Amino acid sequence: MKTLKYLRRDMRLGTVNRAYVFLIPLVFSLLMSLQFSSIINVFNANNNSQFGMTIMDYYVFAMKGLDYYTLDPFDLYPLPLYWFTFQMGISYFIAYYPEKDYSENGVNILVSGKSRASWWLSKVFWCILSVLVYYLVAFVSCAVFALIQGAGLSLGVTKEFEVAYFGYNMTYVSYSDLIVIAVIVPVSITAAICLVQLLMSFVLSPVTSFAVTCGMYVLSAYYTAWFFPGSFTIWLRSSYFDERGLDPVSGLVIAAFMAVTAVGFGIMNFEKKDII
Amino acid sequence: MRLIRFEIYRAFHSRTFLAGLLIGCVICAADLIIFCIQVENAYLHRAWIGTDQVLNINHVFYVLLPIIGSLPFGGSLYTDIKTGYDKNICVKASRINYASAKGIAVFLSAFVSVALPLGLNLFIAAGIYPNYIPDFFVTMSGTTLPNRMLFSEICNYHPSIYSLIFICVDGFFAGAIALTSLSLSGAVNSHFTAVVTPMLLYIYSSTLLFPNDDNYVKGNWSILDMLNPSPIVTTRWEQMLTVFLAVFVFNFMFIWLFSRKRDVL
Repeated sequence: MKTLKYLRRDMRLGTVNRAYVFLIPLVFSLLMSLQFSSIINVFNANNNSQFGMTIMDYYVFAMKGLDYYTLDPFDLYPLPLYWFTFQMGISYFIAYYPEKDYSENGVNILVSGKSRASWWLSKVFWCILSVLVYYLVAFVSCAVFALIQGAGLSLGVTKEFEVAYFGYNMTYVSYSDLIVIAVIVPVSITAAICLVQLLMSFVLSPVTSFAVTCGMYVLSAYYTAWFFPGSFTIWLRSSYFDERGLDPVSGLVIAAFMAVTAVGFGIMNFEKKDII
Repeated sequence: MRLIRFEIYRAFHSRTFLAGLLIGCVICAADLIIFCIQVENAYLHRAWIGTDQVLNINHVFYVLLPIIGSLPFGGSLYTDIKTGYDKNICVKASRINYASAKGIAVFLSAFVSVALPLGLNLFIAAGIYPNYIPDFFVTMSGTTLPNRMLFSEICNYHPSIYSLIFICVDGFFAGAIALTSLSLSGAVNSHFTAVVTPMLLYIYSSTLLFPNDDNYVKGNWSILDMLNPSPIVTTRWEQMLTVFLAVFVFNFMFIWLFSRKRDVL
């Protein structure tokens, strides 16, 4: 009950009052939709085809990230900035509200609430809910821009176009697999990374934890490896699509491990913390 | 003058300065250590973090450059205002002098916290690897027109001078970007926002200016790309100077206007 009470407060102060940050997924969706729309037009003109796209096609395109990258000193690989700015947006959103709330009101709330674990758990739920809302805003805005550009209101994907655009590997990716690698795994991994960042913001500082998270995302763009979990948020680097990629199931396991560790260490940290 | 010395002393003796320096040094050290382990028969130009195209760790440094620059002292005006420390100073000195001293301290601390790790990395790499002339097309593989790259001639005949030039350029830009933290101090509501917002502006402007097939030239104006000594764009020195002056003058104006109108007491 106490956690729910805290959570309501966190949602009001941390999410509703700072809703302007949701402009980031909105602008991201707009730019990606415009990019996708122009790609479809060129594609249709070149192939003399007329694909009827759906809102899910737009979302899948927006979340694609960049292909698997093999280190090559003779090939300069630019940072996938659209993907990076999207991920950086939620890290920015998560970074400082909990620490600020702790430093400004922590003493009063933790003493009067009598349960430090409830306070920390409310921050954990707030973090997870914020990530969900962030992705939801991205999806809804993608859908709106897609509808404006004439896409069909359907959660299905246009398989022929996906195969023609992303390559023959898409033939082996079923719809349920696509939902796992393009929706479930990225959301889970982002939430887990944010939870670790949340914990780090108390242990180090909000700025340092934000810098570490950004650094991890940059390295994830260049090294597709489980220890750089940002790679899991790029579905083109999933083993369902590219055999060199990462197994999405291991992504879910890593996300669960990160989340449980962050929650556990967070509780231990706050139980020991000298608040007065 | 005393106020400037005082602010510079504060900047270089703060824990945040050490934190910024530490972040930069850790990235540079990681790059050099991994490079030494993984790459054989290399030379200085390839080993220095700025032109190391093997490991791509230099992207971490250049993405985080605004934070490394702003963290040392960028948020100090916000903290001074919040704690009321600025009142004690502004009783004895004018607000403009105080803001100028702050600006100089912020600029210098940002310059040092960015240039020092890059310089140390070059210095240590120079002790390990020979300073061979780099292969023209290998080092400039990011574009189809290598001779259009900024300072390409210097790079091809004096690679270490090229590295030193970019260390200075990066330091100057870090200083100008860190001034954004100062100019935002009156408008933000946390130290975090003051320090991190310059990075957001830096990354988002670079995203919008990202070179694509339709318009490759716009990438030349991207600060993120122009500061990287292994660039994928062909920025000219006039463009670099224009961007630097724009960032510097905008921040200078903003700080001046904010300080002039601010009610301190």
